Amino acid sequence: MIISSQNLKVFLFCISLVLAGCVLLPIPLPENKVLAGKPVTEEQLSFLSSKDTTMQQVIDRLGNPNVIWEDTRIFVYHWEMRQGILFWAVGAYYSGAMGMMEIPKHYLLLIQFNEQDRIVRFDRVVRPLTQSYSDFLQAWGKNVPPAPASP
Amino acid sequence: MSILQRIVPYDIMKNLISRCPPQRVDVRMAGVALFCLMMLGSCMPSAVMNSKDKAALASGEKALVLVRIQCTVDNQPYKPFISPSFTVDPIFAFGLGTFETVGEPKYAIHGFLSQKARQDGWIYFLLSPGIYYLAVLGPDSSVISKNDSTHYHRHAPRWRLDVPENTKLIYVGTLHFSGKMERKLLFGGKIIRPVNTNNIALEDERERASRLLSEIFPEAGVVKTNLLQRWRPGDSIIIRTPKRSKNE
Repeated sequence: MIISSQNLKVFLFCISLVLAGCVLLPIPLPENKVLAGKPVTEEQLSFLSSKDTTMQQVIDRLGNPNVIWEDTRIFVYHWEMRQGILFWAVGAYYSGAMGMMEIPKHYLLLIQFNEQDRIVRFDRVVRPLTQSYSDFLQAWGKNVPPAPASP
Repeated sequence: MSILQRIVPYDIMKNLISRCPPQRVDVRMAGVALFCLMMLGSCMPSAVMNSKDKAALASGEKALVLVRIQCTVDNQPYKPFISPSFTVDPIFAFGLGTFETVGEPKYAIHGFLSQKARQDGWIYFLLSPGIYYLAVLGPDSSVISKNDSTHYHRHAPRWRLDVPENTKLIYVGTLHFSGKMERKLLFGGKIIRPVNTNNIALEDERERASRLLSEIFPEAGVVKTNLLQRWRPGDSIIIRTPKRSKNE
């Protein structure tokens, strides 16, 4: 059996945690629990496709945005879904501790308006856990394509 | 350094290190060691305006934002910034939400203009132009154990604070907090908890603020008043791209 170098690294990392007395076990789950915010579904987005949709119409349909990036005229709606559970355990000699935490998935709906308060573009995206909120917004603001949201 | 970084919160460490000249590593280490001693002695760090801060203020790169904190405990006036000692703990801590944190408040070090100003509850922050969110923890005798926690700052009363460009001195208001004393400790310390955090009054004392600032900075010009605006959960967070300074 041939093991790729990436798999080997992951395997060695897991083994090193076990040898150090740590166990981390992520369990993926269906995204059916909202951890924070109010989710915006794909169906709710259909009205955004029209270039004539105004800022006021967006507020009327979706409510006030969580974040308003003033100078770039960007509205942000954010919410978190549970994508899994992380079991962890640490032990040494005769003592130890264990616990469980929920793994969030950060969803964002980003909408940019023009000077006439009409939609220029919008995206429903997932922010990677490793990227900060502001870095992600700045990348989107500069039109760097973000990772698409899973359905 | 790595052990110290584990003990001392990263933001505080970064702030302290940035205040030291880069070539004086021994000064940095002494500063960090002093900070650790302060933490062990239940002291709350507060900023002292150094030459770098003064230059940033003079050039207009940063503005001095003045706030006054007034406090009553059991309906009696209580000095909010008594010098901490073995039996007296600080009761206020502050967080600032910025563009980088998308409004989420993180622990921020405040400064005092003078000992008299401290006694009267005046504090300041040096901030670049932009929109900030000020979170205030207190009056709470266990504020030291909470000030590095995002959780506590997230749930603390919060105000929006606007720092316009081309302004050196800004007064943003006087906040009136209330607390109650739950009990006294063996050596005289008091356990104080905040009350009525939904109705914190904001007072406009612009004349007093102007007098105080013009005494300390006679050449800095007019003091602008830009009162804090209460932010509550569910309100939109407004952010503005910060202007990069020449040094960045």
